[in-house]
Parts: sequence; structure tokens; C-alpha cells
Amino acid sequence: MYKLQAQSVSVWYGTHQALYDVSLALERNHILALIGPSGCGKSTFLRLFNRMNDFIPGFRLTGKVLIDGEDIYAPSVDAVLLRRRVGMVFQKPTPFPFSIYENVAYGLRLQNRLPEKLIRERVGQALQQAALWDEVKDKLKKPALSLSGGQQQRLCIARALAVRPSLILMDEPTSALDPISTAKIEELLADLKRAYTIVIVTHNMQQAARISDYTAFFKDGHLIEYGRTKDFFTNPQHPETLRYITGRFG
Amino acid sequence: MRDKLTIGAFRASALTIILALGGIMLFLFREGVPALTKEPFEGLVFAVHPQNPVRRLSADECRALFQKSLTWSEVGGPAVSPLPIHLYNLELYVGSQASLERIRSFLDSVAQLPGILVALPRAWVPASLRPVEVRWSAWEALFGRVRWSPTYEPLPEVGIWPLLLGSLWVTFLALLITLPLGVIMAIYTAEFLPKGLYYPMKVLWEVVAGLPSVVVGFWGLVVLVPWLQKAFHLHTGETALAAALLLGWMTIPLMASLVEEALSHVPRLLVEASYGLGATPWQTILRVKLPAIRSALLTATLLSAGRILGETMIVLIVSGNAPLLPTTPLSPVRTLPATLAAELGEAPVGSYHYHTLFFLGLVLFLLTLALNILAYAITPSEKTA
Amino acid sequence: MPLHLRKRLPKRWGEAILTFLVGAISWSMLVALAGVVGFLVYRGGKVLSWEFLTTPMREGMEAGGIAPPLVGSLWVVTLALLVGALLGTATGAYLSEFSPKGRLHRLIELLVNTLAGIPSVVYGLFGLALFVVALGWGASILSGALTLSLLSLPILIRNAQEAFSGVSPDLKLASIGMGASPAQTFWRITLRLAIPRLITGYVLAMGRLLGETAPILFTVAAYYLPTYPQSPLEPTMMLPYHLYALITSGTNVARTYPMAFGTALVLVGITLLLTTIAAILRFRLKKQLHV
Repeated sequence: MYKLQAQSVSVWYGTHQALYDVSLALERNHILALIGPSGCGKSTFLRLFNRMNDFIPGFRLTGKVLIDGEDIYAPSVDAVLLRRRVGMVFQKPTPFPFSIYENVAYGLRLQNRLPEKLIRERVGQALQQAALWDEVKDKLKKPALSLSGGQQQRLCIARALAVRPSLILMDEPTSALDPISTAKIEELLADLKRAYTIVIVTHNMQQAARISDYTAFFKDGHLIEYGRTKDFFTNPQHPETLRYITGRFG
Repeated sequence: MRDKLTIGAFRASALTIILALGGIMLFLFREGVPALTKEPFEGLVFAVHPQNPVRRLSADECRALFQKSLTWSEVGGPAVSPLPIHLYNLELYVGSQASLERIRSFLDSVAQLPGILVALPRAWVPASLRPVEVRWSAWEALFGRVRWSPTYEPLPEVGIWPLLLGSLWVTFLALLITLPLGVIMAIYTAEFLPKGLYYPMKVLWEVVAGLPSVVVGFWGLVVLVPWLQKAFHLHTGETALAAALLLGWMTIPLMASLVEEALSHVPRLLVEASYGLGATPWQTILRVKLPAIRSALLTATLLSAGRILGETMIVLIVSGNAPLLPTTPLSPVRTLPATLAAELGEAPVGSYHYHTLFFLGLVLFLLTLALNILAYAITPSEKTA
Repeated sequence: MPLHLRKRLPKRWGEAILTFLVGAISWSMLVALAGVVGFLVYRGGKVLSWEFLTTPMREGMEAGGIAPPLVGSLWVVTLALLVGALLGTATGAYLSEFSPKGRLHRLIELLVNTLAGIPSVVYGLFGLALFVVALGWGASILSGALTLSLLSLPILIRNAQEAFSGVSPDLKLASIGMGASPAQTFWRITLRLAIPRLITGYVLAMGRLLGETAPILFTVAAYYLPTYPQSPLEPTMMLPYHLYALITSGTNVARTYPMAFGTALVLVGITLLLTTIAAILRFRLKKQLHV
């Protein structure tokens, strides 16, 4: 079974159509990169999977969006619970005004009372998975805002990981960071793939080529091409894809 | 589950706003409308000597007879001077059979006098006297008369024009101060004030706006009023001018902050176009910026006027409290809010005076409401003060 | 063609004078404030003493202190602020965070603006008709406090709205993205971050309420009651009304006026302190946002 699936999905914001009949599927423990020019709908598509689009007025959807075979837009689905099972990392690091420890524990505390010992374990694991543990293990009580930009973004990743989501969504997670932090995060993504399924929006094609298993190219709300990354960049099928890739690479 | 509780509780709070405004309007109408529908002498009957041909009187005539400024012959009665007797609170005097007898015999003896005009409870009218009909037109009494003397029993004078015009007069005079000075301070703050002093200036405005009006009124009474008295050789310095000066000053921060806000939002393109043509800062202000904020100026004036209209204590303390039609800035005057503050304590609950005062409150409420609605109709974006 | 760039002296001169005048007028407000406050300090300072602040009045109001009105004012205003802060903050939260931005939302905002424009004496009328008469509580701390709390609602609601909207939307989205419900996001993130701004509003409201006279005239203020209130259903003396009573008593001006000055000084002193602190805090916080 596929981890996530989109079946003939079209999205409208009021009268403006943002996605046209998109279909794709992804197996678990793979990384999917969404690329395309700005405004092409890749962020909209990403946010379908944790229903963050629900907050935009006039949002309407046809088609099916499935995670683990379940239609997440069915009326019986609680969107809040969904978001606890799907993690999201945004472009700008958004540490909460708490300590480092409390930031990572935030998601854990939302649920019914977990024993403090368990929370401590999970926080430690999450920070390790996010490759941040060594840098913060001595100052867990310090405010999260005292960390550098790259560290804050890894903190946000740890925060998302702590609740053991089944799917992680990332919206241009490194575009606001310096090259060194970016490299560190790309490294950890390769590790994370072993335990998680990840969808990442990126405008950086080298990044997509480096880290992803599958790539999807969007333009003007249409899914132009979707395939294994290896083939995608060496032998794109669609002329549009070729034009976009060579344009950016050149 | 907790979500529903939170949202529900917050929504309930928001709905209390509706309740509050609804409640205010409800009570103002409930207690104010009786001033239009009831008569001040409810339960009382006016009676005369059976041979007095007068069958009906207007409220003004009746009152004039009581005050002896009118004679019976002028209203078609006998050529005797009126002998008015007002018997109220009779129930209080009836302690024993003896006092009952005394009152009865008093009434009987009095019924012989031809010029008599008695006001007394219906149940007490002796057969030997004949009631007359007294016409009371509430609209006329409230809006057709220019005397305010609401405690004169049993026929109070409740002409609201002196109070209404007093309010408008003081507001007008105060705006003469608030408008120009507020605009000047707004211009200075928006255009010429060194940036480091911007927030201190705004703090200054907040502080002045936050001064308790009773304190400002007190200062006015001790400093301004004697000075006016001397400077203008007046009988008393408690005048409309005193109130207007103080009110005008206190409202400057409101006007200034509204106008300053508007000035800083004039589109850059306009400003740059002006400078690009070689205009000086002042030319730009006077020819481009001020015209551009015309509607904001109007809104600010309306809101300031509303604030001044509603102010109570300063007027109560320094304006002389004479409910006369305002003539000059140097005459004493009485405004709507000041009347409420001064008289409500003495009006028995449920009395005609009480209802009249609530009617005044209703008028004041509608007046300020109209100003505010007008202000927001002109510029829909609200601003705090 | 030569560009005549020399400054046209006459026009520039005029402008400089104009600017100077305008500046002088603007700063005269500070002078005026200093004049008023200074005068009160001068005449009222002589009367101030520990005794003045902590003992009741004697010999009518001609001697002693102003402790009853001071205590009464604190009681009524604190109660009013508690109710107002609760209702106002909740309503502000609703408008800012939870209300779908539709017709109900616009209606409530319109009503808040309307309430803001109602004169304080009309609130007093309402308080009289509802709490004192209709509910039968008579002139009491409860009646006065609830009347004042209504008066303070518009300020507190707007303040809360601004405080909550001012919290970075990124943080709110991040919390939602983690699966926190809107209410959880509010309690854990938004409210925490809005607290400084909220408190500023409460302090400002307290300063304003302490100086209000008209609404308390018919709902709570007692003319002469040199004792301390024992229950919320009793009337009590209050600072602004006491000042007014002293001003208008007229029997022995030589003795009541010094008391009046002292009272005025205390009243304006407390108000100034609260308003200044609130204003400074508010503008400090604003500056932070822009950095």
C-alpha cells in the first residue's frame, strides 16, 4: 500500500483554481521533492496532507487525498488529530517562546498526560534524530530563541519528530538558512528517510536531486511530470520539465 | 472538548456586548418614554369653585395661576384673584381620625372661596368643588418651551432647549480650541518633531487625556474662573467660556492623535510628487497633505464633538449651572450631562422628574450615537483613543 | 540655462517661523500640564501626610484624612477591573482568534465602537436603572463596580484584540501545524505572548476608572460615610466624588479647600502614575515589534 496518494485532486480558492487534476502516489520511507516556479501550487499540494489549507477562505477540493489508504478529507476525520500524526516544518524557523526542552515536548503535551519520563526520552531521541542533541544537551532549559537560525530550524524538526509522525511535510525548510546549516539538514534528511516518509517542497533543484527519491514538477497548478529522481533529472519526459530544469541549471 | 468550552465561553462574552448595548437602550427608553406619555400631576385633580365658569386650562395657564402671574379673568373666570392651594402627600398627614376630620373641614371651608384652585388627589375632592381639565402636552412641554424648572410642583417646566442649546454652545466653543490646536500639534508631531521625541510626545497626550475631569474642573474653578471674572469684569467667572476652555484643552490629545494618524498615512506617491515638483515642506503640508485628509479631519471633529458633548464634571463645576438659553460665551450655562449629574440625586425614583431626566439621557445618547455613526460612516476604519 | 538654486530667502524664513510657532504651541501642552499639576502639588502638598492618607475625615469634611474614599475607590475600581478584564479579554480573544470573520463579527465590532462613544454619565443612568433600582441592590459597591466595568469594556476589548493579533501568525501556524487545536494554541502560545500588552491595557483602564465621577454618582458614591465598607451591597465614599463634595460644600471654604487640594493631588497623582506607566510600556512594546 502506498503511504500517501492523491487521486485526481483539484483545488479551488473561491473561483481561482490552484490545482488541476493531480494524481500521484508515494511508498513509505521515501522522500518526494516538489519543485516548480513560484505560484505553481506545490505548497498548496503539500498542505493538502495535513489539511492546513482548511484555514484559507474559499478552499474547495475535489478528488481524494489518502494517507495509509484513508481518505483524510472524509467528514468523519478530525483534522486536529490528523495534524498530530503528520508533522510539518515551515520555511521560517518558528521556535515557541519556551525553553528548548519545552519546545520539543510541546506536541507530546498536547495529548493526554504522558508520564514525564517518557516525554524526556522522546525529547532526547528527537533531538538526536535532528542532529541537535550534542549542541544543546547541556542547555535544554535555555530559551529556544537563544539558538542560531540553523539550530532553530533543526529544533523545529526535532519538535515535529518528537510525536513520531507517520509523515513529515517540509515547506522549503532550508531556504532561509546559510549553506552550512542547509548541508547539515540535508544530511539528516537522508537518515530520517529510514524511519519516516517525507515530502519536501524546494526551489533548489540541486537539493531535490541530492536528497529525494522521487520528484514531482508542478507548473500553473498542473502536475507536469512525476518520476524517480534519477531518471527525472537525466532523462525528463516532458519538454516543459526539460526547459525548467535546464533553465535553472544553466 | 476543552476546545468547545473555550470557544463557547468566549463567544458568550462577546454576546454580552449585545446585551449591554441592548440593556442601555432598553432602560433609557423604558424610563425616558414615560416623560412623553405620562403627566407630571398623575393622580392629582385640579378643582375650582362650582361657580367658576372655567372648565379647562392649558398647563401653562394653570401654572401661571398657581404662580399668580395670571388672573382668573384672563382665562375666562371670575374677577377675583386666584387662590392656589396645592395639597400633596395627603396620605402622610392622615395619621388619625382627628387629622382626617381636620383636613375635611379645611377643604369644606376652602371650597367657599370663589378664587380657589386646588390640586389634590382624586379621592379627596369634596363634592362642593368642581374639577377642571388641565391639558398637558408632553411634546410641547419638552420641546416647545425654553424654561427648565423641573422641581416646581405640580406643574414643572421641562423645556429642554436651554440644556440642549447649552450643550451645543459649549461644544462649539470648545471645538474652536480643540480643532486648530489639535491639528497644529498633529502637524508638528508628524512632520517636524525629532524622531526620538515621538513616543514621549504621545505619552504626553495619553497623560493629558487621562486626567480626571473633576480635577481639571477643580483647577479651573480655582484658577481660571477668578481670572475670567477679573479680566472681563463679570459678576461671576463661571461661564460657558470657562467650561469650553478646559474641555477644549482636554480634548486636544484625541484630535491630535486622530489627525496625526491620518497624516502619517497620506500616500507616499502624493508626497513625493509634491517634493519632486520643488515644493517646500510647509507647502506640501498645506496644499497636499491637509486636503488629502479632509474626511479624516471631519471624522476627528465629529468624534471630538461627541466626547465633549458627553463630558459632565468640568461643566458641572465651572459653567455656572444656570439653565438659561445661552447668549454669549460669558454667560453661565447648563448642559445635558451636567443636568443629569446635578438633579438625578434628588429626583425620586419613578417621579415625573426622574422620567424627564432619563429622557434627557435618551436625547444625549441619541445625539452622541448620531455623531459616532456619522463619523464611522465617513471613515470606516476605527481608531482607539 | 543656469539653474537658479540660491535659496529663496523670504519664503524659507516664513516657513522657519511657522515651524517654530507650531512647535512652541505643541510643547505648550507640556507646560500647561506642568502648570496644572504643579499648582496642585503646591497647594495640595501641604496637606499630604500619612495621617491624611490613612485616617477618616473629621468635623464634617474639614479635617482629618481621606482614607474612606481612597479605600472605597480601590475596592470599586478593582472589582470593576476584574469583571471588565475577564469579559473584555475573552471578547477580544473571540474577535481576534476564534470568530469567523462574518456578519456576527462585524456586528460585534460595530457595537463595541458604539459603546465606546457613549458618555460615561449615560452608563451611570443605566447602572442606576438596572442595578440600583431594577435589581434592588441600591447604591452599592456592586452596582458601581459593574457600571464601571461596562464603561471599561470597549477599551479592554480593543486592547485585547490588538494584543492577540499582534502575536506572530507564524507561531500560531506552527502550533496548528503540530496538531494543536485553536483553543490549545490560544492558551499555550497566543495568550502567553500577549500578556505584556494585556497588562498594559489593564493598568491604563485602572487609571481611567479611578478618575471617573459621573457613573459613580448615582450608583455607589456616598456623600459622607467615614467608615469602611463591610459588604459589597453597601455604598462607600469615593475619591472623585469626595473631591466634588469638598468643592461644592461651600460652608467653610478656608478649611475645605485645603482638603480638596490634597484630595485632588492624591487622585491626580495615582492617575498620572498609572497612565504614564501604561503609556510608556505600550510604546516600548510597540518599538520592540518594529525592531
